[in-house]
Amino acid sequence: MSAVIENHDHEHHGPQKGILRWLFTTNHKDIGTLYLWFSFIMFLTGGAMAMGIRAELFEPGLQLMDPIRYNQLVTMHGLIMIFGAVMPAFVGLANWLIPMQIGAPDMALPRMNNLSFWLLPSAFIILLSTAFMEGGLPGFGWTFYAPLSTNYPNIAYFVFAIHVMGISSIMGSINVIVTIMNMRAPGMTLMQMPLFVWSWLITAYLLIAVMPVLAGAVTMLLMDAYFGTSFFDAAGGGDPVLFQHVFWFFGHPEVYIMILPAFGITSHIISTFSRKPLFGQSSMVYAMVSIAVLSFVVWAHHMFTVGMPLAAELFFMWATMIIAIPTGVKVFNWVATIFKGSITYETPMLFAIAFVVLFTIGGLSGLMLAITPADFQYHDTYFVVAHFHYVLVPGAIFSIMAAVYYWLPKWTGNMYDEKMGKLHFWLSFVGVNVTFFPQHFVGLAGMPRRYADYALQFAEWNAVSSVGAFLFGLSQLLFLYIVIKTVFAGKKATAQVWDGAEGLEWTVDSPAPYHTFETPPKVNG
Amino acid sequence: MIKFYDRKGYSLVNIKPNNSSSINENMIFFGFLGLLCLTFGIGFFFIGATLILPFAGIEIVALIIVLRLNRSWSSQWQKIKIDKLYVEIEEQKRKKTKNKFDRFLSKFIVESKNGRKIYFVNKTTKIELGSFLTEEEKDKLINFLERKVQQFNFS
Repeated sequence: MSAVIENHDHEHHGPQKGILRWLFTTNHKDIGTLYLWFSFIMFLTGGAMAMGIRAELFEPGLQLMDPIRYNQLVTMHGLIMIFGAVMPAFVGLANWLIPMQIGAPDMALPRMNNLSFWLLPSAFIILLSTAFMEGGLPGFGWTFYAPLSTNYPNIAYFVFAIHVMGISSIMGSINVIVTIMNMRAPGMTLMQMPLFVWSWLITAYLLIAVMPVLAGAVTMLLMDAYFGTSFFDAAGGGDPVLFQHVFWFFGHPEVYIMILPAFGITSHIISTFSRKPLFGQSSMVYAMVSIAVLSFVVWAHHMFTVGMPLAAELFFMWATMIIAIPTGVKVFNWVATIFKGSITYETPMLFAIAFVVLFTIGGLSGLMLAITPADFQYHDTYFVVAHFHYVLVPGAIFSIMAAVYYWLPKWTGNMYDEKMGKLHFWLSFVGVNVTFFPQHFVGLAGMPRRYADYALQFAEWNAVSSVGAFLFGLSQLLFLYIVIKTVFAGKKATAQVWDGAEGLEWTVDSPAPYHTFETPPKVNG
Repeated sequence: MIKFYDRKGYSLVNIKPNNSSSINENMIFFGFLGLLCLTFGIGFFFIGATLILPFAGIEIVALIIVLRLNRSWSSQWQKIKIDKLYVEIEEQKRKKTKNKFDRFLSKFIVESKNGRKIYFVNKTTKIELGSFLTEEEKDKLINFLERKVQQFNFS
């Protein structure tokens, strides 16, 4: 027998050159980067639409567009921000971080990972292509309530785009679950997983559970529009309220899909910059699981005013209020982690603290909306707009920005400009509050949402809100500049980057090599 | 995962992929998720939103496919037994196979095209060894095979 094995020097193949690298890559870091840039482009696109909305609302009367165009902007702003900006940004972070945090070489199903990304731009091209068709962009709100949406001429394109986005989400979620379940480093038990990984495991579970509901809902719209069925058309014996139940059964867990990963990110950042282990790691996990479970039984709080039995109203009111308990546990744990910590206020920490404070404000207005009799007053007013923007902008989007500043040195190998980062934070912080806080006032005073015009009494606060929106919008160009500058230059980052950072991703070099953890690290309990 | 055993007259290598969850844990996890989708589908079916059930079904099929892929990955293993006269390779991939080869007509080779691959070659038979191993484990396997082949050649 041959005693010598024909051994050739083993070399890692690096990334392919040019566009092919990005088209065919199966590397989790490349795909994470693609997701993050895609989401940022969509964020700027959706943000530009928001600027259009706020420009129109700067003063009463119709200035820049007719109400149809205004409704199209509102609808596309919502759809792009939810499905194009926030969700893909979290998927991008998951792609970059989950394998590195659990000590895996890549995602479990890398080819599917590539496909799930490339389906996403395809879906948005289909959706945005309706702008060039007769009937134009959808204008029925991101909730696409039937039968309003079934009368939209390009509903087939809309439905197809939603299906493609759904397939992409399901593939991404399955990949996350299989990776976390099977590819953790030896010795890493479920309870030892970092909280970002936990938050994504729960998010992926939620996504897979609710995606058939969304797919079924849009298919029933299509059937009503083209195949003569009457699922949601009262004239044919259908029930328009059924659509709302179906939509919100998907829609409410979707809200948590957009916020659970933010909880994970915030936990890491607060622990790092307080230089203390996170207070109550396991209670954080149980709180996230509780929030996810409760998210399935609160959907009807979005539709108290459609008329439902008193018992149902009471059930949904109390179920919604119960969510405040696990959320309170999380806020308490973050504050307890900060308490007596050796705190420093780098940009990620500023965004994380702003997240805790402003998300709590959004949560409190949520509690107000959960009170059924009060909701009859607030429903479809700007108070609701203020509430969900407080949850999603300083909630989800601030956490994404915090994550980018926190892990950017690990991704690029360069430190970002701290002064510019802080400037970006303060401009964003002031901009967000100036934009959305006055919307509570106009909402409580009765200004309805989804109208291009409004009564004269709301003029002052709307002008303030528009100024804040432009400040926030323009400050994101600074964010773009900081990120691009960091990619190409900056002080070299060390492997650990932050002196309080803990976790496997901080054990590899900065920038993280193209292939990491080909040999799983041993994790000691 | 790789384990080496030196017995009297022969050496044995057991190799398995690294897995952080057992097949049963995965079945419970994916099974509960499938059950959840099915419950939602059936619930909506009875209140008139009938088209959610088929999509729940499609998703359950997708979950079953992933679980099967996962199971076939997790349950694979190889055993390589080397003695002075024979090399015996027992493996579980899709089905269990066991082959015994004359050691003097066999060789182990390493190919570095598109990543490093270790093969056992005997006449027209070529079996890949440890395709699921990490690079460090492949190094260990190569060193072990090199040592053992030399040891038995000169014993």
